[in-house]
Amino acid sequence: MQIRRLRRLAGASLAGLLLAIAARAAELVPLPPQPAGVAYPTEGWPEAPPGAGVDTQRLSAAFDSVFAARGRGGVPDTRALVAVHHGAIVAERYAPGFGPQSRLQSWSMAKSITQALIGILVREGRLDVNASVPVPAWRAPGDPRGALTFDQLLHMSSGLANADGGLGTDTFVARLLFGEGSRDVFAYASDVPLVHPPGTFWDYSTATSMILAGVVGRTVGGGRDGMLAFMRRKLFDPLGMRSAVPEFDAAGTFLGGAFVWANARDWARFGLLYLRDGVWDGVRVLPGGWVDYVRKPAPTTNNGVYGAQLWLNLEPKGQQFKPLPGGPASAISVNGNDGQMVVIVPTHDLVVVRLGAMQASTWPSVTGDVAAMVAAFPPLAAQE
Amino acid sequence: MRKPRTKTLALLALGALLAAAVLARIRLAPQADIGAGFVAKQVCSCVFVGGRDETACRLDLRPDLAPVRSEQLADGVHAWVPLLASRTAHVHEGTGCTLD
Repeated sequence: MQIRRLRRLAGASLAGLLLAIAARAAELVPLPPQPAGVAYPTEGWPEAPPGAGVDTQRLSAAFDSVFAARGRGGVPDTRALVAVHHGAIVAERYAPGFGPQSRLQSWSMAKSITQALIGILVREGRLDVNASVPVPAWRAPGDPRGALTFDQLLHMSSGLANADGGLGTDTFVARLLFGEGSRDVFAYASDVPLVHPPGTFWDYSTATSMILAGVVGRTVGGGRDGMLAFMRRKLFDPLGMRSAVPEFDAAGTFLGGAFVWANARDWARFGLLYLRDGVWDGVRVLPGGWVDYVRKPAPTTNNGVYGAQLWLNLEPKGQQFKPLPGGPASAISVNGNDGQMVVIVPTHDLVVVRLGAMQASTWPSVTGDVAAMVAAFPPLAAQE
Repeated sequence: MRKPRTKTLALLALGALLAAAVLARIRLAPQADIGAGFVAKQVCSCVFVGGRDETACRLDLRPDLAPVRSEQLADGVHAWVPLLASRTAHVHEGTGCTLD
């Protein structure tokens, strides 16, 4: 009787362990290596026709659908669309008046650039994600904000009263980016009280990314010029992101919650860095395990799809939405206002970049079209 | 008797108008400031970083920002809402546009 019970217990434990492993595997699909013989696009992008298994008709139809929505002036909402499969550009299209050199706006995709900069400082041993965030306004003895960690801020679960609050003009994010907070975003973003216990409540906050960007700048030193040099030396130049233009406020803080301009091919380079586990042409840019860290959802009860300064194609909670409906659960999405997207799909060794406006289109139409594009590519397992 | 009463009423009406104007300004100025900041920053970046012309850049903005006027400068964009707010964004080599 005792032995049977023990067997049952052991069986249940083993099943639990297997489930845990399966759940972890479903959460963190291995990141595919750069195919042999395909150069990293530091100088120029390798280009190739869509390979075996790609449904070219479906891909072509998806491209047409993405460019169908036309906004004011008859200009397609989508200005740039690039698909990178197995490390090479296999499909690319631009709206009239735009091309491979056209710099386009990141909006919140800048948050992931900020996250990458934090990662670089972690690799260099200059920051620790579990350490408290050094914000001068939080240093007073007994200030509970002084205990906030980088991990909590990266996962948008600080509990600070600086959430975006929507897209209207009477919102925190509008005041931060364009109103009274815009001259010194670091001070404005951090001068707020806690409204939730830290680490318990997810709330999307551009201000939080501005705080992180401000701390990166203060860690690096040298003001605007020092930060620009750091960004170029450690991130943009190694990847060949030569079109990237980060923007700053008048106080010299990188506007790392909303403003980086770059062309679509450079955003594809950024996506490829994450697809290759933070390693670029044999050189580690992001610390080992960083990409796995950022693609785990924030551990709060009201979040299912937000990792560390990027979105995950998992199950949304509350007001959240799935970044790639119907797409693979392994997909990571670097998203910005107006439908900016860098979609990274490890199971398909694929990066898709969509940049532009959202006048005639909507988030569901854009993400639906991009998901249809992804569906034209075969999963890696089917190619083996 | 009539003249002083008319005068008082006229003064009261003027006072009410002025109060309404001040209240309207207090209420609208922050929104106008955000609108001017939005247009100055967005158009500046679109022109000087994105390489597009001002007309095309304005076309990309929401139609409800039409009351915000803008003027392209040699090194930036000035935007304003008459009597309420004005902001300027200047471009810098390598770092795009910054709101003043």
